[in-house]
Amino acid sequence: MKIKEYSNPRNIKDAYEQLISREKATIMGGGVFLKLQRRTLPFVIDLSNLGLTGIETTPTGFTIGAMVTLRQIETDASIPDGLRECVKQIAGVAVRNMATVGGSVMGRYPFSDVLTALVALNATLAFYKKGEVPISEFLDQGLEKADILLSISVPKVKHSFFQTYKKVYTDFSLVNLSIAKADTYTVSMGATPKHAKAITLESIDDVRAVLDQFDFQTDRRASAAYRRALAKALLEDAVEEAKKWKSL
Amino acid sequence: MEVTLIINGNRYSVSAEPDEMLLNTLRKLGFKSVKKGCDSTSCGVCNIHVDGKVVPSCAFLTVRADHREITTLEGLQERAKEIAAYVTAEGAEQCGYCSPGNLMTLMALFNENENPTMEEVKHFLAGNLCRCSGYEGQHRGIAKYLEVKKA
Amino acid sequence: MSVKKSIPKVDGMGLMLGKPAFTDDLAPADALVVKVIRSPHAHAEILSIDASRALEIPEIKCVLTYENVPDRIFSRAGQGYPEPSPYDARILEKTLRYMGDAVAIVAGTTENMVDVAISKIKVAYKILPAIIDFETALDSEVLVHAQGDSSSMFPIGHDPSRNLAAQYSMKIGDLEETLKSCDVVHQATYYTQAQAHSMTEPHAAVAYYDFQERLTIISSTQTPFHVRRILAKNLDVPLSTIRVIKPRIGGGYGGKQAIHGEFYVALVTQMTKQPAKLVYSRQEVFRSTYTRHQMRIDIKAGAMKDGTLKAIDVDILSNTGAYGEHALTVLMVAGSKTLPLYNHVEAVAFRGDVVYTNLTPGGAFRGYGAVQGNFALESMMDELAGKLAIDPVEFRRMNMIKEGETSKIFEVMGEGTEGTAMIIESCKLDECLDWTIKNLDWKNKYPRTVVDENRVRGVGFALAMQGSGIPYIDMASAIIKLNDDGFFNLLVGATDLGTGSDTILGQIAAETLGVPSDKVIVYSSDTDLTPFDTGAYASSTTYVSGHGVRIAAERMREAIIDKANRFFNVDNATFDGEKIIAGNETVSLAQFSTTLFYSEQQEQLVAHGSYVGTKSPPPYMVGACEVEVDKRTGRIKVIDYYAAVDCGTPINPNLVRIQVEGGLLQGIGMALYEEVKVTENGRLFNDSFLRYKVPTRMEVGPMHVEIVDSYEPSGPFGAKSVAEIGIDTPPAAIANAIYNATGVRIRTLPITSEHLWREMNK
Repeated sequence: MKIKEYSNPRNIKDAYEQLISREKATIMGGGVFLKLQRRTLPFVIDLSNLGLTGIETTPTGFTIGAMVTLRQIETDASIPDGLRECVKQIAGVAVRNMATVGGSVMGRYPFSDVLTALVALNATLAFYKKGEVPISEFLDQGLEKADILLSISVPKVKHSFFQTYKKVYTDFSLVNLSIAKADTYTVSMGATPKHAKAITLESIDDVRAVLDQFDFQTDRRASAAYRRALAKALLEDAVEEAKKWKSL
Repeated sequence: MEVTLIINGNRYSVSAEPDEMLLNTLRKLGFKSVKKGCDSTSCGVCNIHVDGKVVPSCAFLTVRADHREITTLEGLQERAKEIAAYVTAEGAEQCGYCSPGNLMTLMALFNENENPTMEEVKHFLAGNLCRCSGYEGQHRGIAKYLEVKKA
Repeated sequence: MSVKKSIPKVDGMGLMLGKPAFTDDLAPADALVVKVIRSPHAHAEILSIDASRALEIPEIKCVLTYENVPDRIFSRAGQGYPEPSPYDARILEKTLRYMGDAVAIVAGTTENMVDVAISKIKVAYKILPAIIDFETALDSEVLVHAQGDSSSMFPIGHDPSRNLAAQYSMKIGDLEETLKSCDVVHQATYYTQAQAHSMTEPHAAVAYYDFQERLTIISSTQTPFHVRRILAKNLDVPLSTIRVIKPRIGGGYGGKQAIHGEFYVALVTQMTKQPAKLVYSRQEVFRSTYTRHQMRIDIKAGAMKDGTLKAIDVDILSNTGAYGEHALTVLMVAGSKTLPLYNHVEAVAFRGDVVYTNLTPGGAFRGYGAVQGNFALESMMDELAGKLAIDPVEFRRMNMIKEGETSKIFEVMGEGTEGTAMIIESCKLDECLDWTIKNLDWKNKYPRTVVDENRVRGVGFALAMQGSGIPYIDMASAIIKLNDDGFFNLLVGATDLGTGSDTILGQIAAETLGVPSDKVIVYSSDTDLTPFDTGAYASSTTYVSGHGVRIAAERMREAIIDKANRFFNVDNATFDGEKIIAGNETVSLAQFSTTLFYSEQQEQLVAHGSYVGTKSPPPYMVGACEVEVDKRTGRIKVIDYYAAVDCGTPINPNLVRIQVEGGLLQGIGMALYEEVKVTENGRLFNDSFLRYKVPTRMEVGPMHVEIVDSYEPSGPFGAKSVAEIGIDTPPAAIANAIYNATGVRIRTLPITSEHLWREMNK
């Protein structure tokens, strides 16, 4: 990665002004994935001085600042299990101290574990200009105009669960699964290898029926059939886990 | 760009390119404990502390570190020596190239949690690769250190 | 006692505390930054290179291309002389033979400007058809070395017109007749992958002229003396004008045996008169250094119903990539360091072709062919035992080599040449087998235990052997000098890669001298200051260099006693490691040595020793594991790994243990996770640690290592070697365990969970 010019604005308004006025401006969250890009960035706007680093409990759930690190999520006991679990196998602690939840969202990486968990939780994104956008809509459609993610709201759920299949710890997922239970179940799968997608169900006991709602494809890392088999195993484990929720 | 870095308690004024990483800046300033390993944040050998948190210096922009507290292993020698003795007692440092990053990560864990279980230690160090030792000897050393410290 | 003692590594604390010790740490601050432009094509010819715009940049001090570097053809393998690898490489060349081959070298005062300069260098390529699949290479219309000017120092079967880097064949006994007489004959084909060494320190080299205008090279190399020889010869300068220093190096495992950036920095310094340094990027380490030779191994084996193994026939196709570094020798070791395990056979045949392809070259890598051969042979032994319905443990017991025996293979097959006949004077394979089988609880766990409806566990094992240096070729030497205050300097050419060889050589010296090991200060691997050593490869340092040290230390002892006799005019002086007793006089060594420096009968006592092995006693190992397979996903987890090793006397038991554990994990990586993957056009797909996954500390269960009691009469204090053997058993042991767990035999490495899942669902 090469950076031609770097800016470290002190307030969100300046950051946004720069974003819309500078040609080919790039937002930097944690900076981890940006570092891995093999390209030249003419103008980088670093969000690290804007705050956006808090996790707040609200009457309906949680609001997570866009610059909250994955490690903060991992270590905050108030965060739902599904979201906390999903970061544990992402790279190492040092990387998780840098990588931000906002970066995970804005990257729209299909292999993302964080997105799968957030999609299951029906998270809502808050942008500086555009305001609130449901995460699934964002993943499907992206943004029509450049904007800055401020925070992510996660509604309260009764239970949540995350499970992934990785070849080795710290690797990218071959497929991942997250389930959140409020009144109904929201099941989300990512790294299929497409980005995370969710469905809502009354019951998840019929594993085959759940699986049929997802589309698995082949890439260099795994075949479609194998991904489906992995997803089936993850779902079976989830069903077992969910049985404990019922008995609670 | 002109940047002020506070490294191991001392102030340094440096001029850094906008895309320069702390790894390069620190090595240029003579902090050779900070090693270059993978260029992709995947090995842990360049780990340092910024504001008390362990981070990969290969991905941390020097300009972003302006006026922040940076700690390298050079600044934690006494503390490190105490832990390192248990690893060298096992011969598990081997080539030693991953050791500074390992120690920086381990000390970050001890800052958060003085008495971690070995499972917590392994999980915390999972992003620190070692190709020589097979990890087992490191774990024996760390486990002994924790035992002795507890007693 | 200094040997059989687990003292910490002499360099350990300094390394752990991050003291400057590695090549890049020691580079002069004003060293020019050197970078290499790499071929973007698997096979191409350079039509033109225009560096004029780069050279206009004031920070850029030189650009090297094939047009302004010496045009010499040589082998970069980093072996002794004459090399058994073909002379097929140049410093820079018009033809590019793999994606990552060197196109040009750029040196400048800052990394940024070097990057800018690289973007301004225009190279026109003529793209040539490439060979990516090694099974299509032999006699292909596409020739990797079409110029036909490559050659070999002695016959190695080199034939570039057939894409053949090397070829070998041998036969003992009448194979066809013996196979005919067998009750059961089984045949199978195994594949082993290209594996990346993945040492944490990238390859690095520094060059500068010292104040006497001698060209000094600091390099992360396993072979400083070979580097000096190969550099001098091909730069056409006297050997005496080059000094090579190997500082601490961050892992090698064979990957730093060959020449890498040393030529580039040397040439930059020659041309600019300025210091220069080159530190490879991780992508370069993956793409442009070396991998383990990929192999296809066909084995046919025959046995009688009673379990007597009678014949083994091995036929190998090995992929050496674009250049033939270690092509012949890795091939031969696949036979010579596996087949003697079953020395009772009536007939054995081994042949193989090593082919060129347009891929990253194969090179030396811990195990060096033996691990590939072992996977095939030890899988086959389990398969054959299955055909015979004999417990694989019993089958091994009936057929494996025992102490006091020999194998004809030792005599026939060496490394690139004929071998050396030897009687095995230490072989505790039986004890190793007993220990592992008992601790693994084979009796109750073989073949499988069911955990629950999804998970099943299986047990498997493999035998292994390696060597201890190359007889009559590997030479090592040591110098010891006595200092005032009674301590010694030990100077060795031996190359510590982090393994602890400085430490154990110091222990050997201390033991021989009878002094505490902290009285011996070790300095190693500097061609100006230390005596010759072939380098750290072929599991040679403890056995070969250790003997050199022992001889030097014995002579030093004699020299001390001799001096004491002369000094005190007696003929019965003794030295107990602390005191010298001569007649009525008792004097401490500290006092005596100080006297010898400053006061009376002044003399510097120095002793040297050098050693060439006359045999290569194999260390032996049995590795056994329990794996768990999730039948739904094919996920394989190594639950426990038991390894018992016979390495002779462990000079430093802790360091032996770590060598074994480190080797095991690299072997487990090879068995389950690691593979250098190439796209259809020859690009390395996984050229970073993001994509090339070495095992993390979370992957495996405990490794239990037992060092069995053994003594090798020909070794220093009874030692053999242990550097490589740890890597040998996991591929076959894990494959055998998976078979026992699931009934599925996987013959291709790595054994991925998807592959296993697919086979289970057939």
